[in-house]
Amino acid sequence: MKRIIEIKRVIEWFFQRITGVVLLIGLIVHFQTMHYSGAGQISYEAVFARLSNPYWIVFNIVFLLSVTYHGFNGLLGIMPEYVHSHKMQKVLEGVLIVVAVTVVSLGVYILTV
Amino acid sequence: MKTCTFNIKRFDPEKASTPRWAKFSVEMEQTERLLDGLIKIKDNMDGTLTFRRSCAHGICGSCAVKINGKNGLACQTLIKDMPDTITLEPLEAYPVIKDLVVDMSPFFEKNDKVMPYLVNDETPPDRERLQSPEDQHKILQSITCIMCGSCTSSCPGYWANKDYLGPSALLKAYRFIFDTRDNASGERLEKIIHNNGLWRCRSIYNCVEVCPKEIDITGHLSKLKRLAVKKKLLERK
Amino acid sequence: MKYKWHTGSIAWIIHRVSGILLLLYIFLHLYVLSNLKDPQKFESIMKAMDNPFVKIGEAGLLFLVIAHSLNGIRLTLLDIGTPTKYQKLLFRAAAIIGGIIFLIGAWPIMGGGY
Repeated sequence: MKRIIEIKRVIEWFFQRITGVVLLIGLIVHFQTMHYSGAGQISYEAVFARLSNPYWIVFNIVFLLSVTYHGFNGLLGIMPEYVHSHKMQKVLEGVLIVVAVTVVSLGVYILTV
Repeated sequence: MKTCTFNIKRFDPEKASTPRWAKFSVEMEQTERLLDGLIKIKDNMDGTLTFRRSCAHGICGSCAVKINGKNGLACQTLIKDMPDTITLEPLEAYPVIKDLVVDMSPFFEKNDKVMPYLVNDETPPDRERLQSPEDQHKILQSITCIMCGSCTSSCPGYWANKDYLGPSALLKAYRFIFDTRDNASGERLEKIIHNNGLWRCRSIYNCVEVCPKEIDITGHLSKLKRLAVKKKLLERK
Repeated sequence: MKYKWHTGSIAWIIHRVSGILLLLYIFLHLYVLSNLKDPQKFESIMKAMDNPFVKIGEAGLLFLVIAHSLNGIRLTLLDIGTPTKYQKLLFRAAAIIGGIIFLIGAWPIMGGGY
């Protein structure tokens, strides 16, 4: 446990980079499919067909997890630069983690029809 | 000769609670330095102007001030490179004692936190502990730091969080971690990877812009980050 | 407090502001997606997307994504050991490449056809 706390910051920094790279690849795929492949790709049927395709499900879940980690880890990292009370930092850290977990849960619920 | 206007942010805690701006017109030679101007003002115009200086040759690090919005050494800034109006302020983020003199103790406290000394309990050889030129090369840049405080005072990460070790202390940690004669690199690494350490560096490069010794501080810090990932994540048993 | 801006600090402030805005967008995106299960709602949302203000918003979103992504690439390259002397060049390259990608990407959004 002590070791985990010790390397927590290293993991946070390292994973921010890893998820960044994953997001970059994911974004290219996402934008290409959703917005630059013609209007047919975002019809109700096409969107629904993708949502039931196992490859797309894996892609969507990985994408969702990366986005949430990258976004909330980023905000958690910069938060102490604006909030100086240690007590408030702890509170906000808890709130942000709860919000992040909620976002992932909602996302998974939406993506797995 | 040219006439330079020195616009100096002055503060005397015994006389006023807020800083004020003072203007001085000084005749300067193009070949003179900013510090010469400050000395002229103190000698001939206003003896109460307070600033730090010592060696006047860019090696003691005493005369670091904010020059036209950017930190630098007054003794290393030439008049020929300056516009006619020169704005001088004390270094940002340190408490101001008087005029251009700041309290550097927060800066040195951070330095003390990274074990800024060689740790080696082995019996030393008859003469000095030898180092190969290659090993010396790894720390060559970081050794040249004169600890003027310009970098840490230019760092937005430090402005936002005064508990952050800052570029200077982290560079000092680098200097010993990558010193092959040092035996406490692991312990020292742990002293810089906490919440107010290495990870507060956002690669903004303000420190590199101001370093009077032209040290690639951010580059050294990113090497430390890679070392931390390697030692703490990838090589774990 | 006034401090001189440099390439690095400009890149940093863009990265920070775009990052925060993109995080906020996640919530909007989730809200829109939560209506996916109902075909009628889906169609009405798709219609609402034709609104010119939504289009401008989408172009703005594209801008934020490109800015944050390309500066992210720049930072990652510097993190893995690209020499500091290239940091300004990388910023300029990111700005130019980003501008081109933005123009190409915003064209269909603004109704220019695929």
